[in-house]
Amino acid sequence: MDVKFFLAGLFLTFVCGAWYFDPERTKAVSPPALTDSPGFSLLTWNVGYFDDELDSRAHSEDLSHIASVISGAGVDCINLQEIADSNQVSTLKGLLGARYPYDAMGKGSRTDRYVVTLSRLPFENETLTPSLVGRDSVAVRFDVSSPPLSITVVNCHADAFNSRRRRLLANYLIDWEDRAEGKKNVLLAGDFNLDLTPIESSDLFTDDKKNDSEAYSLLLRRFRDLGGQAGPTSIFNRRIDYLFLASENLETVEVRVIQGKVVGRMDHLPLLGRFKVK
Amino acid sequence: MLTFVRQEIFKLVKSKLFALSFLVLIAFVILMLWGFYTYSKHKTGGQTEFKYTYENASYFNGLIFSLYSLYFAFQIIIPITVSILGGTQIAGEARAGTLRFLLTRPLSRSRLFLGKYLVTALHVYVLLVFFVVLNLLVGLLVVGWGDLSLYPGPLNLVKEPSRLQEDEALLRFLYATVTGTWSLMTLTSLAFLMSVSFENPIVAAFCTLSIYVLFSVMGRVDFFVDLKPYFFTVDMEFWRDVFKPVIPINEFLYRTCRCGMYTVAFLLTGLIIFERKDILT
Repeated sequence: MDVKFFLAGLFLTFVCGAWYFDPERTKAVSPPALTDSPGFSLLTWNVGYFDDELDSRAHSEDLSHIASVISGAGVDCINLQEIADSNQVSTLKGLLGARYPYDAMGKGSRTDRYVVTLSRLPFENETLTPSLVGRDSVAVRFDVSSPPLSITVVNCHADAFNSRRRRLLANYLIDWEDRAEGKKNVLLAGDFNLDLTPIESSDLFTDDKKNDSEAYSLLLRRFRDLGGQAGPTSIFNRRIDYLFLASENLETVEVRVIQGKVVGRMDHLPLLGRFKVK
Repeated sequence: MLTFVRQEIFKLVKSKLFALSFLVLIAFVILMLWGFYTYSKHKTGGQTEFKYTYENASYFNGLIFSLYSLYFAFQIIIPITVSILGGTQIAGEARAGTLRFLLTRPLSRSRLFLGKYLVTALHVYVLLVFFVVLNLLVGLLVVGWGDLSLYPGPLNLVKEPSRLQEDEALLRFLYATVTGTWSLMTLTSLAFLMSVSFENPIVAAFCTLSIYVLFSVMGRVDFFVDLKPYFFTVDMEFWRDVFKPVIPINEFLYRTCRCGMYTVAFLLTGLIIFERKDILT
């Protein structure tokens, strides 16, 4: 009987211990710090559909909803992925009124979907064409005022089905950042499809894992991953959209995933970043 | 009690299962070596070097080999071994017709039960120490040691590239023998519960393993995401937290307590069943 009482006591001790150390219980939720400092804000959103749809690119009937989300976010720059054609860009700009007069589109050689950057501020743009990746990326450079600062934003959409291509895109971006002059404040924003932790503790060693890990580690040599605490960016509980920053002059104010804004069969959530100039 | 434990250790060491448990792990290490060798050969066009992985010439060394080997073994081969070890303890005696004879001794059922459990726990610990040491030695002889480089992704240990110095990494392997044993005690207790519930050791081991595999697989399928917190297999993964550059103490203690909770619950239930059981063989 003594042994059973001892075991029962031990059981209760472990139950209390588990309750006491429960990370969910002790997790403190701190609201994002808001600031009036001059800054820069960005939203990245893959507006395409699930892959099992006949057409998984952005659907024109969703554009008014997309425009309302963009208006609500009130950001300086929007990176959209999986836009079907230039008509969608025109429609979207029309829906947004005169708020985002500037746009740039990246096409690509082996794809039917494009990346599009819309902006409130004028910019110089450059199309990045990584060989073997198949999709273009778009780099736009803004000059924000007070204090004056030049910021380069790259809109990326990596291949969802080929980890080797994702790795090549990461390589290309690092080389591009190395090569180009005057890119001191670079933000990479888009759907990188780097699937590092689909489900905690479930992964064994695979080539896809290795490639994604290498691509991510490579990017982290130059950039900081800002969305680590923002949560999953896909409705399938995966974090595959990223915001990477390489800058000493920009300070992150807030990076968060905007919930409840998907319509139709969209599978990505918008990722919002706000920064202030140091 | 001590005499009984000594006799149980003697019986265990003399049994074929004891030798077999070590042989299985040796075979697994050979298989791992073969796998790593062929993978390296394949990836480097025959140069048989692993250095291109992560573009880090010192990435593949004896420590990373040992970590992968331990991690892969923990997924299935060690749980199988432990399920069989635990499952055969009481049911094996019942099957062999020696359980009634054992109970004629002046030793209470609870002491007999806990004595056998203690010996099995010791066996699991020795097995794990042997496996870790074997891997480290093989790693040292084949490719040498070095720092343990960790990258986000494959092992899910870090969020950004990190590194453990060689001495620190070796210490973490030592920690892993303790956390690994604690984690495996959950399965051992479940195997004991099954062992008192069934007369046949094969059925006991099979049931333990079925529950383990079922929970492991379900824990990795998104359909069951809301059920995941209730699977003991999820908590059992805490053993490898000791390889994180900074051990997340709260999470670590939480999982440790949860594993302890399951272990004691299975053990207590097994003990109650065993004490009330009508032993016919």
